[in-house]
Amino acid sequence: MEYLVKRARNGDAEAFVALMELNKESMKKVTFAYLQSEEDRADAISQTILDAYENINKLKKTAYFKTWLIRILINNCIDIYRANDKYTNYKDSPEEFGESIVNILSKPLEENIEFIDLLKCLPEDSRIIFVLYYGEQFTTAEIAKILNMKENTVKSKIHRGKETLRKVL
Amino acid sequence: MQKANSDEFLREIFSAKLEESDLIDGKMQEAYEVIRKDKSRKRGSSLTRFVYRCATVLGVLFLGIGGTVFAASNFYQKRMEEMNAKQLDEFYLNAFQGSAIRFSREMTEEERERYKELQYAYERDGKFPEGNVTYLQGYEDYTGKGVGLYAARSTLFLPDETLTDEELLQIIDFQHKLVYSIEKINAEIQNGEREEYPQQKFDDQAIAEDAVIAYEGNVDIVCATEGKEYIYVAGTNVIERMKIGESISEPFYEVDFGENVVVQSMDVDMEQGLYVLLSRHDGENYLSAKLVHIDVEGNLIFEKNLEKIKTADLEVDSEGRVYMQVFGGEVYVFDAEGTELCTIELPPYKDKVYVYPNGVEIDLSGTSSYKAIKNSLCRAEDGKVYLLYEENPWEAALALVDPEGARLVEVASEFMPAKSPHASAILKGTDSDFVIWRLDGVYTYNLGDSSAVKVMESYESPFQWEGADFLTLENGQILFIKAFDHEYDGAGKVIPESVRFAYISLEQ
Repeated sequence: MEYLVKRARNGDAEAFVALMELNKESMKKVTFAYLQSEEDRADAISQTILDAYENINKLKKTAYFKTWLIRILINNCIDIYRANDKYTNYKDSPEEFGESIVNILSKPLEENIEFIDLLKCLPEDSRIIFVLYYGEQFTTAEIAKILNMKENTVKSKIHRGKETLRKVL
Repeated sequence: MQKANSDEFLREIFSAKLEESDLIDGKMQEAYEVIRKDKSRKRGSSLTRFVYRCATVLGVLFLGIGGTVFAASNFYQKRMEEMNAKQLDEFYLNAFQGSAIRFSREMTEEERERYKELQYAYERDGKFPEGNVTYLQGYEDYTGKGVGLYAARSTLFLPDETLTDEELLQIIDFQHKLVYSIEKINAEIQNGEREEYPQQKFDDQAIAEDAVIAYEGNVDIVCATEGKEYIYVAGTNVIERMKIGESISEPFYEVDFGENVVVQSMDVDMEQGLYVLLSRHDGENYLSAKLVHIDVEGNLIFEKNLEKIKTADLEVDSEGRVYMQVFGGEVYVFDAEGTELCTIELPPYKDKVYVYPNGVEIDLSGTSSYKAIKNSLCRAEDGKVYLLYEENPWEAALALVDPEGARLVEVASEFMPAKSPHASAILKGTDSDFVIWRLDGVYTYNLGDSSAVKVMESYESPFQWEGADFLTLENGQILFIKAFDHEYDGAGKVIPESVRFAYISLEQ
């Protein structure tokens, strides 16, 4: 990926597109942590692509590309979240939360548990951390940097989220 | 079958590929087209940005204000953009200490209503204040008139009299400029336009105070507890102790638990021996824990590996039983030799629907929330251990931990004067049953009383409140311990470069 980052930084649009495709799945998951509407998630990703392209020449270390990209994406998700009604976006309705649990409990655990159902069972402020930690394999130190919070806060939110899952499921 | 919260299971679920989305794919293709058409990278207006919405962090950054957010006007944008880079940095440096801003008193309902109306007028119609919030060097400098910011303690002082429209507008102006400066600086860092945040001067003033003692020992203190004569301080693999009031500690016990070990918590028992919980980690996760009992001379009495606990707060009752609360969860009770006696779950929230002060309702039924409080266990004068926990979000309750009945017996409910999102730590009192530390101040509480009494405001603290640790001493003093310039080890423990102690007498 670093080769592509270097190419993109030098103005190679196709290398940049390839980079975005490589990170598409990660970006989709991150948006789920903040935004319910598919349209909003699509907007957040497309805006992130444009922002990243506009600023990639300012990225100093190619190794930090993904961290940098995710930070831009999170910022855009938060912008959209704020621009909408704050509490209709981020909060699941009680019905949807109940539905998520029913979806999970109705299947044996070995069967496919939907990523989204599990995400909705988590406390809101743990969702992005779970996506980054378990989905994207960022370390807690990296997550702390991305989210601008203390590393032990990240750890406690992971713990808290796991406790929630233990009790809910 | 895998456990639903096991790391392996979670990695599997969170790594699974998501379904394709035509909508997302389509939007991505549109963005790619813009990029391909603009290889010169001089796109300007072709890259539409989302409209900047101000101040939704008001509720986060400013405690006690439910921020209704209105669309920003040209007036507002102009006022914010008039702040040049130097002004932004200065505003950030002078006003922000990394903590939420508190008010010295709650606004009245009438003031809140006017605040909302004026906020609308400020953002939409360009109704701005004539003056500014006054900056205070210390809380003693507040004259009781106007609005004053004591930035070192993140406190906005409000007059006792009803706030005027001009004062409310000054608060609104201050809040918006601060939020704007933080967001602008954040964005610049994110975009690679600047390396780091402006260097803030945390607690310089406090460090210069005479009451503050600089620790001169060798331990990178991550944990502390108090005995009758000594303060015990622990680093990652060593425990030392020092006489109360001194600045240098002496070796007491060397931890032997392999590599990557952290002293999680300690408590002194009735014989002045020390119970210690050690946790071993791999740099990311805690792997195992060990309970160690050391006598007053620093000799090992016993050590025992724990199966269920990896990290917890610890307290010992007068009969030598050891209580450990897993952070955010259940309480485990062990006998004096480390044999498990029982596990006690925390009760569910009392209410099924909870309404936050800003009017947002959440459904609590069937949900599991963060019900515990760090440093929540305390041995009281009667030798029994009590637990401070949340009976509802933002509402603290106090319970006796009954190891024989394996239950919590509620002894106080709704006893803290106001709801707070930032509870708390509980300590044994000297002139009262308990001392409770909360973000807004220190309270004392006696069993049977209807409410706790505030005995110290947070702005009177020798240090910025957040991140400090607290001990209560036999002489009635409270000891504040604060680490500065800290870093984090692999397991999230703070490794401070410097530590300060401050001994404070509470006014009852």
